[in-house]
Amino acid sequence: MRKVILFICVLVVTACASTGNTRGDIVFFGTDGKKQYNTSTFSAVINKEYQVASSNFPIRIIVLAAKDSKSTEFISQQNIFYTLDAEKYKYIYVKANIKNKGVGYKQGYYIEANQAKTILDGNSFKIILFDENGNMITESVKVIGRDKLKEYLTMPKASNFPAHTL
Amino acid sequence: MADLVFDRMLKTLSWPSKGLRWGAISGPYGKGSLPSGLYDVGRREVTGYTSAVDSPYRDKTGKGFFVPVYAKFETNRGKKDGRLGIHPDGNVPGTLGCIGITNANARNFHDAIRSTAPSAVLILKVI
Repeated sequence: MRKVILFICVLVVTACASTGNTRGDIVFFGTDGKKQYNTSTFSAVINKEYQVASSNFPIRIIVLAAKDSKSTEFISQQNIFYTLDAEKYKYIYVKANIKNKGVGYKQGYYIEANQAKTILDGNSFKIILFDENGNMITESVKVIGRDKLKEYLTMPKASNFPAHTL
Repeated sequence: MADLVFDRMLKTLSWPSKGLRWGAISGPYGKGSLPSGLYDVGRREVTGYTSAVDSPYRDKTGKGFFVPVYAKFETNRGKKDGRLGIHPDGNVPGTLGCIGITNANARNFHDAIRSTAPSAVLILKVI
């Protein structure tokens, strides 16, 4: 019996390792909370919502989480986003803050505070990138620089690459 | 009452008193669609209908324009992430939060705006 349990455990661990994506779906809201999305189906839903060919919206998702939106890391990472044209690089960014959410927190993509806490998992800052299929490209508890971010936004689908963790 | 109305769900921009309507979208890139509320139209800052504007602001004819809008409520949209406005939805489908007119030829929107007095106070309502 113990051998069977051990064998099942090995199978589960192997399956998780081979997918290269150990993060589950993240639920978030659109501007004014009018729509709810999740990371795995966002591109497909947007294709329908904007009524365009699916090939036009291979949109990547960046979740920017911080306990406090006034933290140096959060502001620094946000300023890096402003230097990378989101329309050109086809990405959206989702804010996930617990406190000091600031003016207009819900005037863009956002995550509720309780889920932000879960995403942060005890860290004060975290950035997670997902490809157009909702597969995690990378996650980091440190600010990702402009060049690296650009590389992640232009690389082929995450499923073709091993998961990156900084 | 607002002069222009942008309906995010119906994806239309209309000017009820003139009986005009255009196809229009906002988002999904960056922070997504324009927040609901009232906006002032920067009537005096409207560009010409010209091929000199950047490609994201041009319609299928190769010409375009930019009409700036300013939120009448507290927001951080349109600050560091670029100005908010109304323009033809050029290059790839979608915008960074501006209202992109999807008609192949958006000239009559530009003409309608330019037909008002430069001092006109025009209000946009986003629903």
